[in-house]
Amino acid sequence: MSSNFFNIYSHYFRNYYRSKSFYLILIIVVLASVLMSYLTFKYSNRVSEMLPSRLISLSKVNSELLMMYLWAYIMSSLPVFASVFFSSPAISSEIEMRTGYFVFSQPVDRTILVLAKYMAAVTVTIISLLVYAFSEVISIIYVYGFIEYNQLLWSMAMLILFILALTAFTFLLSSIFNKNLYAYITSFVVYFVIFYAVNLILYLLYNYNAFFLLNNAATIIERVYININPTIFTSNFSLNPAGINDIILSSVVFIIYTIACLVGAIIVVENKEVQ
Amino acid sequence: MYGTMNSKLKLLVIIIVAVAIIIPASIYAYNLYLTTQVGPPNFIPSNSTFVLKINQNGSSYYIFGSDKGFAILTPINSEIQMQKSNLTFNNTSIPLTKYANIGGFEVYQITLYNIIDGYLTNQSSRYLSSYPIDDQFIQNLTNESLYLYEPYSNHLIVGTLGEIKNTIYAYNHGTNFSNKYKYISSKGLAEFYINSNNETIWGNISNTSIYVFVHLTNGNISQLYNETSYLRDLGVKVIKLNSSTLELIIPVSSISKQF
Amino acid sequence: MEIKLENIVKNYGKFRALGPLSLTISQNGIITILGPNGAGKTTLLKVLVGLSKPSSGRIYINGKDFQNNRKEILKNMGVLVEQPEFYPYLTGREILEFSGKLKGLKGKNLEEEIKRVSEITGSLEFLDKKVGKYSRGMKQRLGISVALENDPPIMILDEPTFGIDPIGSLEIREVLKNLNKNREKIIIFTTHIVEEASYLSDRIIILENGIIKNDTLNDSDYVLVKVTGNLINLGKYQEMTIKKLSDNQALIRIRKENLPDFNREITQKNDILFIERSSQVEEAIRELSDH
Repeated sequence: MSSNFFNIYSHYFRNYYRSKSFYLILIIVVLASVLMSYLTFKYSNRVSEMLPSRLISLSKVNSELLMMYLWAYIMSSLPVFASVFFSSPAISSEIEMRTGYFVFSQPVDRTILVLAKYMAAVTVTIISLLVYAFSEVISIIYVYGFIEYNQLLWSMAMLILFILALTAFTFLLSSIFNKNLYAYITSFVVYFVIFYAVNLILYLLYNYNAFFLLNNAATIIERVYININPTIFTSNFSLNPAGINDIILSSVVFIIYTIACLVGAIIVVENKEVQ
Repeated sequence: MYGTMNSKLKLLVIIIVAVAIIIPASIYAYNLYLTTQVGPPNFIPSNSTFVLKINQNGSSYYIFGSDKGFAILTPINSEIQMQKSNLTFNNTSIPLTKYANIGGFEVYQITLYNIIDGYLTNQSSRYLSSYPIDDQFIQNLTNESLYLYEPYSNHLIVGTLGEIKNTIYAYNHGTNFSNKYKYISSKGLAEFYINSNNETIWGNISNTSIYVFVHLTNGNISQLYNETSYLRDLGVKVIKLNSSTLELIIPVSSISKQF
Repeated sequence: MEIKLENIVKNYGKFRALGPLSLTISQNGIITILGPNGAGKTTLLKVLVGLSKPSSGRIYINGKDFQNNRKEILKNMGVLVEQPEFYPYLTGREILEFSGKLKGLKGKNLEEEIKRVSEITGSLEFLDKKVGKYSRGMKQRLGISVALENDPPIMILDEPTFGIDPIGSLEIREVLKNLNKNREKIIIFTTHIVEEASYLSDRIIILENGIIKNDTLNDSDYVLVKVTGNLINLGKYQEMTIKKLSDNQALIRIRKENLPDFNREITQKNDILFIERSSQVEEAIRELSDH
């Protein structure tokens, strides 16, 4: 079974990294890296100019942590685009592009197919973001002379968990549709509209922080540097890094999304008619 | 829809395993969520012996601690302000010295000497100009230090070093008062909570009454109920809520009668 | 080897696409599923290879329930359903590696098998190009190569000559005929070309509105041929029945052993041709069903 898994994984991975989508994502990532590097080099000494006055309180703002927060803030949005390109059409394209006639008539479990394709999509997403991570490390070390390794590693670990969860989520959406266009639109709408709307309604009407939403959990990627949550409209915030409990909470949310969405996708694909 | 035992069984196993992971994980996540909020109960140690919450003009002040130390959590407002390394209290500026970064928070040290000196300096111009105070005398008087830090925006925690460390630990590790916040969450003039080995006492004070709840861990509430019978004569209502909890409702008027 | 379908029904909502259909194939050879568009040919094949689950009924391959032993059975099945598409950024060789490994081939065996099947189908020359650049015919040849991999004892082919040029189609037909030379396989294929069916088949099953209308199993010594041209020059063969469809078209039922000579004879005569036109074929099939 494991050799089947690796065989399927390697072929899907090859198909992904040779695709036009991969190069498009790389271009986006490179652009983002260039812009953030520019920001780092130009504004590293002028951090206080970037902050509103109410944020400069008794704690001296660590300029490097703030810069890494900004890098992480952008980085937490990049997987969303990658997942739309790689994962939204993952299952729907098998039907629309008719490759399902080939692959589903092979002697292999559909569960293994889904999992192998999922891992290929995760791998290619992580690879495309390596460019950004590498640029961040180089820029920060060059400008500040050192880097907060502890927080950086936490941020990267949370990013990987986020990619796992987000890819699983978009796989589930993809498995529901037979057309790529519907899968693309639904992924975008759910993440950028529905999640945000639910978050807004819960917070403004019920003063409730919707920690279970994927976009909220994803803020941990930047909050490991400074615990300011950009999705919550509260006047309470801390300029200290998020504590271990925040990290565990977001990790648990990511794991729940990963498992639930993958299981959902497997159930749908196992019963899917290829037509 | 037509399907076989094998494939159905496989799916069933997958679903059961997934549910077995997701449900406990969700419960755990929810409890974690409660402990990670940035607010007063997340900085009060869970094992505090006493917690007092005072509500005034829309702000809440918390005093808590144990026999080993205490701390005060206060909002920063017009009376108390913090700029860079100075604490301003009632227009008196008190210098702070940076003590250490503990658990990610910058902790500052203020000596009572500085408070008193600052206060006296303020007063001396009006009353004590002809009676110069010996600095050494003041320093000898107060060798104690208090410590403070900003737990989150517009709030300060001031207290003894041990208790300051306890609050930071409680926040970072989730061993805080968030699960017990119900004891001090009613809206009145003040709420209180006292915990000792055998009993927990909590309550709140409003304009008209003081509500006190007593929960005995091991004891028989009936005995306490009998022992407090004399209070009923003073106008206090004593109610047995269940086998281990007693409620006392003390009208404010009855207190003023006594005193 | 045996393929058995028991009371297979396939519904799409309220529409019954297939069945109730029962079929047993226990003799090796080429079995053609013939029928007009919408008869249910592709649906039947999809059900047979697990792309579609039947609404009711069971499928047994060599006595084993297909749904319970899908993976094991598909390892010994070569499948080409609909006009296949492959992952556009992989080469033909990588596609064959992918499916070959799933069928248990590896290393040198896999390389040799890829070479063998692509030589048979004539796809060797474009095997290292990315599939995204293939024409319809090239994809079809690649699909047949995939089906041929590991020399499976059962092959399910859906219109294998679709999209291939006439010369290529003839090549593919010869490939199938060669595969069937020793009668070691069960080859099920669908077509709406009667001539193709009659040339290749040991058995023809005619499907109409999702049910079997006619099965030449009962007629195993004979084949059906459609002829257009000068009907006077058909020649005479033992037990040859001619059903005239028009002045220059006829459906001929002829003993199998006489077919090669018959083919040779009439193709040499320029005024007699095999022509396939779908409306006429449907008409011919209907006529035959009534017969």
